[in-house]
Amino acid sequence: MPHVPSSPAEHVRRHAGRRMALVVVLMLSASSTLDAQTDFYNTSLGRPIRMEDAVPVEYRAVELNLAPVRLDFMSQDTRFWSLHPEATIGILPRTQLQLAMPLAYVDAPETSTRGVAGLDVSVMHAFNMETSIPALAVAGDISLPVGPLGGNATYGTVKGIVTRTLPWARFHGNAQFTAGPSTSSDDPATSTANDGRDLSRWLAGIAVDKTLALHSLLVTAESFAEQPINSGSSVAWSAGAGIRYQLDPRWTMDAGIGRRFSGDNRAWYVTLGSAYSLGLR
Amino acid sequence: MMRACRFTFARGLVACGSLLVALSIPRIGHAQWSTAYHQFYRQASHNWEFRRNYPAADRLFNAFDYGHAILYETLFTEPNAPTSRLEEREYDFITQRLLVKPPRLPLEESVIEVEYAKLVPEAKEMFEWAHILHRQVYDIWADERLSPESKDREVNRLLKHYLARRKAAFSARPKDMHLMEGQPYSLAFRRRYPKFNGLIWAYHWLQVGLYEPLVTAKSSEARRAGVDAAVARFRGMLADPPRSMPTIMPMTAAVAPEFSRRYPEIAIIFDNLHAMHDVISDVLADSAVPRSRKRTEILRAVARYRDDTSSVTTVAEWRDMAEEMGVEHMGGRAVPVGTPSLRTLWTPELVERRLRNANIDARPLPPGGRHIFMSIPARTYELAGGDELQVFLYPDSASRTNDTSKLDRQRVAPSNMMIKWRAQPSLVVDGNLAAIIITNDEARRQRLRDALSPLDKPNDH
Repeated sequence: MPHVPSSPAEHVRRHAGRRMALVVVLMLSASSTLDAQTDFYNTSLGRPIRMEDAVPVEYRAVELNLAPVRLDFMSQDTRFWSLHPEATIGILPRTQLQLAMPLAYVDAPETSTRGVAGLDVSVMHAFNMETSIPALAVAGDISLPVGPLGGNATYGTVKGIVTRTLPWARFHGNAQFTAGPSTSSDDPATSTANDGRDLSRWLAGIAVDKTLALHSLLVTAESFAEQPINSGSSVAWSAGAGIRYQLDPRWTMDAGIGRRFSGDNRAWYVTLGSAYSLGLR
Repeated sequence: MMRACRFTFARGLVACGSLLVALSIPRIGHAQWSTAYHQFYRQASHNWEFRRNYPAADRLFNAFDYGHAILYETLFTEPNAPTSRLEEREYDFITQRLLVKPPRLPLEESVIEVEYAKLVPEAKEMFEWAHILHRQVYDIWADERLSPESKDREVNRLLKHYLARRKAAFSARPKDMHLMEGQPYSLAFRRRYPKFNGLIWAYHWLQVGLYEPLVTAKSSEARRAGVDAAVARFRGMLADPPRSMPTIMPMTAAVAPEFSRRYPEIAIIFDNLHAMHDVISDVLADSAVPRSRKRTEILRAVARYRDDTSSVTTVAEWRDMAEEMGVEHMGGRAVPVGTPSLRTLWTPELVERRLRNANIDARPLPPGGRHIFMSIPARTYELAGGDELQVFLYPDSASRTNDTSKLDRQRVAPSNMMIKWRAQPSLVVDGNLAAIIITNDEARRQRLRDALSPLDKPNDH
């Protein structure tokens, strides 16, 4: 999930945002009629919540998140749209490679900005399959400064993930740290350049999910804290909830809602996405 | 207000984090590290064709997933539960609700068998990998765009793909019954839960039985009718339990003989899969195996069903065992004997037509002498490069079996006899036909094999 921007960067007409929203809705409508999908049980970053489980996609699987969208309802009548297309490939047993190119659009009352918001390359490796020992995984992510909202610095993030399954629920813990230069509110060049990127100095949180197996439905909730990359910003606390639903053996839909309760960018947000899975030949 | 909110979140996060840490600490002495992993199914144009063409049967398999999962979870987590927990409560739920309206998608079994999945993820992954093989073989045979030859090629590719994953694949060598029924824990489950055991065997009957109409029928309509008939017979098994259910484990060679003849390695894999299902049920149900040793015993059984050396028997003995145990006790043949599609016999005309269709130049030679190990003379054909094809056409498959069962298939000779062939021999058997291919050209050998097997291709009539 992208981090909420602190301010817009350039001026465009406001109704362009509505056009983008319409395009997103049309893309989602079109994709839902195709004949295929992915595994509803394995949560991934932003689908539908920020916390993820310690289970990579299956070896030799390809998962395409075609048009996952997120909308933040920010203060002062500002809307932040993010489209986060990504491809995930099970390149080795218990190891996935993910490529993502987020697109962001900030629609403020008087100003707007849009564009590519970086290029993310990440690898996740699970050390084990859960037994009496929880599932443990580590992920590394490089965020490259690509596009008008991609900033001008490269950031590296390392994350630890743990998943514990009980008969009545599954729990996930995520903790991550990001290395790279801090941005500053006093310096518009750095604070606005990272508008669309998903950056926190550190983030830690937990999630719980409950699966209704016979209905191929997963319900989940999370709470996490993060220190924004912007120097001087206070720690932000968020909570969210969502569902993942398997439409057919290849298509999964997800939807989520959340609220940032503290910090400098308090906001409600919603997410909606679909994923298609296939295998390597 | 906001400070209070922040405090509540912080406190909640810390509490939940502590809970997660507490739950994550394994009990000392029980910690097990597993590097098992999931692998996606082989991508192909036939993916999900069975689901598309036979939705009612496909949905039943989703319900079967639940039955296996709840069985293991209950046996492991509630060892002292009354037998009615499975024999009545779960059985009634499965047969009166789940099988009546099965789930529309394959289930995530680890949600139902949470503790069992954590006990032996290695065994669970072996089952999943074999179930993928099951479903993909259905897909191939349900795909009406593929010719029988293309289906054979696809199944053979799939088999190689399956076996390449050695740590998750069942052996393609048949195992003797001692492995399943001669262990200290053997029979514990079926003695205590005869009705649920019958239900599992009925599942297994349908899982292998469905292949038979798919491979023997000669049109999509006939396949559909055959699948419907098999599903109806499965439902009939639930009518008067346990009397109406299989009383011994259904073996693929008996329930689906044509499928087993066509793909013996896959049939053996499925028998090993179903036998291991029973073994794990026994380990979990046997109170003499303490909880702390369940994983060890299961992994020991897993290793035996995975390797190619433990309790191995011959393919001929495996077939004989299936016949001797009595198919009527297993639920019966999936396509009853006498069904028109199985009555075709090989004739000289059919053999020669097959060779012509495969563009194999075969010149009939004058009648020669008779092999001392065959009861009838051969029709001999000269092939390119001086190679030879010897064809033996018997009045029926039983007569053919009587001759060929005495042969060592590798050497194409009785076990106590040495034959000096002019080139590498190989034996092909199918129904009433036996053929000996004598060549060192492996491509030619494969073309001849393809041409002579199986009976009942679309142009045979």
